[in-house]
Amino acid sequence: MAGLNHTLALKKNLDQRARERFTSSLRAYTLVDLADQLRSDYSEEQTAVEHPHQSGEDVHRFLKSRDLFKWYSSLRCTAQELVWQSTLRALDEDRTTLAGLSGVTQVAPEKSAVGGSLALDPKLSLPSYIDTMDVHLMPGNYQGDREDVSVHPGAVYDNGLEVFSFGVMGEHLDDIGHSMANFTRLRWPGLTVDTVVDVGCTIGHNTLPWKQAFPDAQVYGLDIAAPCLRYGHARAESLGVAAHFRQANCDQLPFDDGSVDVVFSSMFLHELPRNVINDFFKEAYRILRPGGLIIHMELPPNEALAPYDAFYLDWDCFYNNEPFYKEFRDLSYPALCRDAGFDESAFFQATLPRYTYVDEQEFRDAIDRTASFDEDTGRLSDTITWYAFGSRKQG
Amino acid sequence: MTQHSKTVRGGRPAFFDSPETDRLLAMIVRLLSEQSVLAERVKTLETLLDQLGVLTAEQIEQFTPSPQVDEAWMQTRMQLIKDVLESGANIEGSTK
Ligand SMILES: C[S@@+](CC[C@H](N)C(=O)[O-])C[C@H]1O[C@@H](n2cnc3c(N)ncnc32)[C@H](O)[C@@H]1O
Repeated sequence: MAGLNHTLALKKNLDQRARERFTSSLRAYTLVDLADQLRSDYSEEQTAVEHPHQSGEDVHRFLKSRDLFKWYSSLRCTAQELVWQSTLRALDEDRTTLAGLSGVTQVAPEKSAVGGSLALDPKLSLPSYIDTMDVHLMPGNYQGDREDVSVHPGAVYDNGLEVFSFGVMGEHLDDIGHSMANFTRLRWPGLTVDTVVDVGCTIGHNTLPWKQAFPDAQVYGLDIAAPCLRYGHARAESLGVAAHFRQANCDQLPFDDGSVDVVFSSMFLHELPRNVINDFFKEAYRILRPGGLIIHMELPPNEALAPYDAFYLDWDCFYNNEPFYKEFRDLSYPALCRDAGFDESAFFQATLPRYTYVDEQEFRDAIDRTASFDEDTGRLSDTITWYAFGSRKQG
Repeated sequence: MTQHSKTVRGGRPAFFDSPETDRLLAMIVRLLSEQSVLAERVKTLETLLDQLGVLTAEQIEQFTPSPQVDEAWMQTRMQLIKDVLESGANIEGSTK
């Protein structure tokens, strides 16, 4: 674990760093070693059965009472709690690194060393679902309490994700962004990309790669959580990348009709109630110009997965405070795009290796193949492949 | 020092027949974490001492406590064993 590589990284003493290394190792052990065992025990038992399981629910029902499942799940929850606990402790102990970042609500591009900006909207009304549950056991969720004027939830997310991802999500936790931006660049070489909007950007870690892949574009990161945006802006400044952070609800995007080339989201849709997903898709359609692209990096749909793989990914919905996760993954993604106005024939999906871990030729080869689904699709490990889907607006 | 709350809205689930088992497992894992932290601190010291030429890894491996030191360490060890194994002895119905 190299640690975060920018000036906002919390200072951690020897013991804190060791504690984080331990948590990362524990997660790798649980998610790789134990998970492999869970899978192989299951397939061994299931080889000769007369009525194989048809769905993820079947597998879940079957495994629930198994000791190994309990063991795996309990350890996984504990590891998840340790991720945030070590970060909160670092935050309690380091009083200097983030001092001075609180309270900022507006930064104009002229005031930014790199030409980025921040615009928070204190009057925005926040939906109630964000207060009822701390997503993935993260104390305080993305927004802290509603009056939070600090950057702390953003710092918890950034430092926590670093431990959580045990080194498989890229140098700046930004491989998803690089993979999606470069997929777009390579797959549609003729596409004009002047304006990119990343919706549900949290701290902008997957927003900035769009600016790096399309240096002339205006790149926006939108989210509902002010503390994450405040942190994301400071983080972008520290990394020297110009991006514009805006507080907004995805059901009302602050852009004119037909004014945007790419609407992007990453690991976002599965955290939204169904009606908000629909509203967001309609808004995305509205702000895209004819020919514009909508691209979502997400977990693969259950319909594409073998029952065991569906069960495996849905674990989070039941045990990791992801209440909307399964309902989303049970949807038909092509229908979601179609219902928002996109032409059915324009639907695309892809499964991609991690851009910053492979050479460009290997990445290009994957673009040319049709999407294929297996146990690596969306399952955090060092062989993970990212899943993406989307469409283009006619015209 | 203000402390950030560790409370999770929505809680976290338990998996074993009794949630206390999940809790004990969480405690054991936390202890394991502290054991790993300590081991890495010792290794840090040993590495630095070696690099600075104060002690070699070999000298550390060769170390044998003198009889007095050995006796003192034994006392400490016994105390640790009792402290740990006898805790919980007041729990009704548990092994005495
Ligand atoms: C899992 S995070 C997204 C992660 C990030 N895009 C990435 O690539 O890792 C989900 C984000 O959605 C935001 N969010 C939730 N509801 C929203 C809404 N209605 N409008 C905009 N953002 C929302 C949350 O504040 C949170 O930052």
